[in-house]
Amino acid sequence: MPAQWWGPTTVPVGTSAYWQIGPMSLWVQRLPAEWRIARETIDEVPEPTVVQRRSSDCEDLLGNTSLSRFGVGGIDEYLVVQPALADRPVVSTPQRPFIIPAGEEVTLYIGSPLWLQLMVGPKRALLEDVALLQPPDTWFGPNTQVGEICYASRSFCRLQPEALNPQPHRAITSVLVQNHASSALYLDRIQLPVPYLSLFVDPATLDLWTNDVILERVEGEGLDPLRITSGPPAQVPKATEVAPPRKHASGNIMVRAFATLFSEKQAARE
Amino acid sequence: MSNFLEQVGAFIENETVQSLGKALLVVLIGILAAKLINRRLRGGGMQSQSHLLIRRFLTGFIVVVTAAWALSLAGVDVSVLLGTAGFLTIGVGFAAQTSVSNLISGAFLMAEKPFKIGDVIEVGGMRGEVIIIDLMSVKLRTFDNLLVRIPNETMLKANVTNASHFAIRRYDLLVGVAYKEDLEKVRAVLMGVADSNLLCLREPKPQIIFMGFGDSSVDLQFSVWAKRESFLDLRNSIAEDVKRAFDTAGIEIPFPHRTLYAGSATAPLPVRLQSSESDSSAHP
Repeated sequence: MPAQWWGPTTVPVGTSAYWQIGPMSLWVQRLPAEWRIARETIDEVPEPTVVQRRSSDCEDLLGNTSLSRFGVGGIDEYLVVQPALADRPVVSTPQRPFIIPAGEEVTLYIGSPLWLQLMVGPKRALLEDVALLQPPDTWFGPNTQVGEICYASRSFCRLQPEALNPQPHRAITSVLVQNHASSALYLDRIQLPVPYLSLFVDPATLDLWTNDVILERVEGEGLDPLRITSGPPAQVPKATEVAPPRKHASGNIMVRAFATLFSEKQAARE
Repeated sequence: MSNFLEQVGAFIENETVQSLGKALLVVLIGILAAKLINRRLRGGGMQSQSHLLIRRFLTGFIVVVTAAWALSLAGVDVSVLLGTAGFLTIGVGFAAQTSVSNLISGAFLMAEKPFKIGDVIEVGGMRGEVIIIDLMSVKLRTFDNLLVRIPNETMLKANVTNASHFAIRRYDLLVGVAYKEDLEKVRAVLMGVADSNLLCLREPKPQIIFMGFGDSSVDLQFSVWAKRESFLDLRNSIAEDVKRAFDTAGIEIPFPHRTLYAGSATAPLPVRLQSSESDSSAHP
């Protein structure tokens, strides 16, 4: 089981801290009047890895191309490392498209990329908000004019949670898809509005989960209602919240959750 | 003292002075009304171009009405002035045909809204960011930081391409591969390039379109989509990625081949092979 990598910590002046969280290596240095942060990401992670190290000195990071420097007043050593969900919706695809007949419902498990937030000082000033493994962009909509830019999940959505190998840079969402329409739903892609979801941790395994989501497919090709259940996911009732949602929904959320055969229609038009 | 007051009283009771006072009051009210309308429209949150147009029109209208009213109160025969103004208007109208045309074209452009401030557009081979949409012209800032003023009449007549209207854009990279190459392998390598480039959108899917058998190569079009903001980065990075992937996979991007044929009537072109030593000795 990988170690917990988030939470408040201290980095006294003149010392540094190092984390490896899945694919990301992160260096944080506290210098007089300055925080220095550098990171490197690899594409492939052989197995879930979390490493933390402390050092009583500061190696020179100026040669690192990803180095960011933040000037701060005082000598405050308080640092919060926090996971967060993506700032845009995530689109996931099944390994092979499948059909949900009319009136049926099915639970899907979707892996969403995680972001890393670094905050310092008593006011929790945000220094960094970056993806642990940058997901590729994708377009979700019925054509190239209507739709929105989303992130494409690097993992397939699954029908069993065990099939979705837990990773420290990924959160799992249980999505109940209910087909209330009179026609079958051909599911080749699904959009999950993760900015509205909270992040929970399973205390037993330290796997990260989000709220459960219920997506209803209604008649027509318009927007579908989405319901976010409050509290921890049903799969992990003892899970505790580690990060709030990025956006708060004022009322019912309507999303374009299911894709049509966009690419095939588009190819036929070309 | 009483004499002075009598003189002042007589001055105020004078009809001409009263008329001039009324005219002055009308002018003051006009200025106040114009300022009030300007202030109200400035805070109205309207789009800048239509806001500007309405403000100028209303201000002009108030100035003309106020001036005519004030002159009439001051005892000037406005009908004569209006008659003169009519003739003047005809003269000015002929002289200001282009300006009026630009003005009307500007109104049409504002109603149609084919672009807005900040959009990147291309008009008649000129490409740049829209910085001002005015009554008479649209001003662009080109990417080499030049200001280009395009009259509204030209804008209305020309084909305008707006690169900022939609959120995503497609880039078509023309690739030629040698005739000896396996096109299935080429396809797989190109799809791998699109898959590994994070700027390349997963949907709409990248496409490889056969363009024809060229003089020296099999020509393909590799079409990939990107966010509008990332378009330039994708355009640069995808070409580098394709070159690198082709080099790694041993796929040849051929340069144009030319075969020299001397014809049957003349002798073949003489060819002489030289070793590197003799070559270096022949050309010291």
